[in-house]
Amino acid sequence: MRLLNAPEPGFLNSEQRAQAAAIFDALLPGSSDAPGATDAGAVDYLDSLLTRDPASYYEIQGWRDLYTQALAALDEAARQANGRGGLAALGREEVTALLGQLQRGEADGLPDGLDQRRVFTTMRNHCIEGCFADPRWRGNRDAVMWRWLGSHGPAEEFERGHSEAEVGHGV
Amino acid sequence: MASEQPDAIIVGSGAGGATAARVLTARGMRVTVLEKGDWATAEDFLPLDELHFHTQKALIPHVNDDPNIYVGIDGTPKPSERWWIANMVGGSTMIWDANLPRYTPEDMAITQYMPDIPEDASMVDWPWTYEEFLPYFERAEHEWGVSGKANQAPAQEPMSPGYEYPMPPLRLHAATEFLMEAFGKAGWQPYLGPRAINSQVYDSRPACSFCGFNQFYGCALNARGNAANTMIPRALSTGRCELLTRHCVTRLVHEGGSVTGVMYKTEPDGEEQFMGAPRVFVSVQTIESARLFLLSEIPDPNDMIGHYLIYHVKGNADLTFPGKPVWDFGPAYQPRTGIGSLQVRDLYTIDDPNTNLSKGGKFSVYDPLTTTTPIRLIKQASMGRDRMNVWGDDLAEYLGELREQGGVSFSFTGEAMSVHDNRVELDPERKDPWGMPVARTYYRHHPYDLDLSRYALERVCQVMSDAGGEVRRFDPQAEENPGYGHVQGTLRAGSDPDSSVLDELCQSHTVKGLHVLDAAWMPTSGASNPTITLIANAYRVCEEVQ
Repeated sequence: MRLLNAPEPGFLNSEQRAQAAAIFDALLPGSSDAPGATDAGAVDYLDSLLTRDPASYYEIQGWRDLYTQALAALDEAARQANGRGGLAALGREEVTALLGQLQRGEADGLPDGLDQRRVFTTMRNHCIEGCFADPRWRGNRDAVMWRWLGSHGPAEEFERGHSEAEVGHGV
Repeated sequence: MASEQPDAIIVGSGAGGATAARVLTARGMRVTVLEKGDWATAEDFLPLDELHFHTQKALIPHVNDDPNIYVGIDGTPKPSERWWIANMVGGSTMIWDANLPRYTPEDMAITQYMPDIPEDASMVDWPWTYEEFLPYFERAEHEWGVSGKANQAPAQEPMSPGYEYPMPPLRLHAATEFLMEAFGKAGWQPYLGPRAINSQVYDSRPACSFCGFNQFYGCALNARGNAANTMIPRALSTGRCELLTRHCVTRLVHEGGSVTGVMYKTEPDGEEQFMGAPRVFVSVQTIESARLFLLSEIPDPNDMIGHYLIYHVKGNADLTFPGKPVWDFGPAYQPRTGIGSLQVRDLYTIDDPNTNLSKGGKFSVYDPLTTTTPIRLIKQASMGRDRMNVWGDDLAEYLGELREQGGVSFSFTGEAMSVHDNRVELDPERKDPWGMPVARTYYRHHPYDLDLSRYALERVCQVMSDAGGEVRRFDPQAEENPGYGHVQGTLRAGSDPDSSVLDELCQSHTVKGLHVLDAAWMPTSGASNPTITLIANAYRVCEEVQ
């Protein structure tokens, strides 16, 4: 067997998890009748992925470096822009606006060496993986996205168990 | 056998090599198959996991340490991924789509079907006819286990009178009847395509369960035919086939215009060793065969080795049907995550006063969630021609449509113009893990290719729009092509030694006894999934060699 197990999340600290969660929540927002990245626990997938032994897959070390740098830079940019908290204190609309700038390579206050488009694409990819990969990789909690979408069987209804406020950014 | 030379060495155990082993051993020859990879079993393909097998590419070479090098329009060499290579017993047939339409007279006698060949393209007729291929197509379809049905539609591949596939087609996808009717209104006739996928028990293997994991995945059920469950067991059962895994051929050895054997390694940092045989059959995929010819310094008086590299013209379009319920109509049909069923060949040749295009191609028709597992599908989510790779509320809207509405996805395969400059060379710097220079490819699609892809997609989108569809993804062929699975040319076969590398038996004009059975021999691209034609040719060559 060539398979690897997904480790317990442990690479990101709690601030970084909250920052990544805010970004993922805006990349794939849930609604009253559809689950999103927060419901799927996509950040748990990301954190587990980054915790994996870099020798197990060649892109992991690069991703570790990217998130360490990009989360700090985006958090600082958010702090300077709104004058209060960092990324995790922003509402979904504010994060969405920031991601739009990032996607176009136009976000202000980021280091010149940061490839904004690459950061955006990497985060979007990991968000989608965290939502739609096999739950054994620690995202797609209880296969919530598969069951709602009808990906490996008939589609099921989604009922939000908690209010958005209680769930927060899923950390 | 170690002290005794085999009658033939076969390099590679995939579609071409395994077929050669099967045919040559049946004729009484003793063969040794050298395979770079290891045996893979059904257990290696479990659990069915998109992240592991597709996203993180567990079964294919990784671009960081085993790439090709691609030189695109800006002239900068860049590492490119080889997602169509699977180094294991059975080769890429272990992870293929098993979509097996035949090439037809339009492909082989192309100059008759293409009155306006662009001046800078080299489109030549094949030195064989469809009729010569017919018995080998039929044998291939029966021995590889192809499900299908003859004579469903006028545009389908022509069949011998009375011929039938060994199994009926796969059951209908839930979208099939709606799509047949929609196409019928436009005067087109799709048909249920031939697949090396069991629709019933066949050759001691079970019928497909429609698990939803097809191309890029191993079939853990063995319902999908491959080289390792069809040809290899037949060859081994004769007692005349030796299959050596982890044997990487590094060079073809020749002397005085004849092949004498191969050099190989069993460890990446090991010593090269010699194995002798009077015949060598190479089948390691187009680019790899060209690389091996270049590494082996096969005499090339006409500057043709590695040239006329061809990638099929591709194009993809997805549509959604507002108001149509999602394709889930119960167990009489494939589930929407099944493997699809329709082929459309009505644009194989184009007769349209509005365009000079003449040789076209075909579509495979799927539901967006059919064959495209969710991570890959959703990463390419689009909400219209100019709204690609959406996220946020747009992505939520896309997912809502995917969940609620019927959709359709078209994958176009078209004739590509052959151009001398599109080529394989040896990279001057980069080495693979076995210490050999990697292949460097130069490729730009001809303007004809780009026009054809866009034209075909527009036509099919028009038919679907008339049936109520709305375009979501429209992705025609780009000029650059860093690599694609349908890859042909580089060692063009032909009758004239002055304008081809291989002869009619796909044997080198300059090194006797050296044959090539992967798609490198194809003089032009053709316009269908190439593998059944490649396999039929392997039967033909191996039955006819003396």
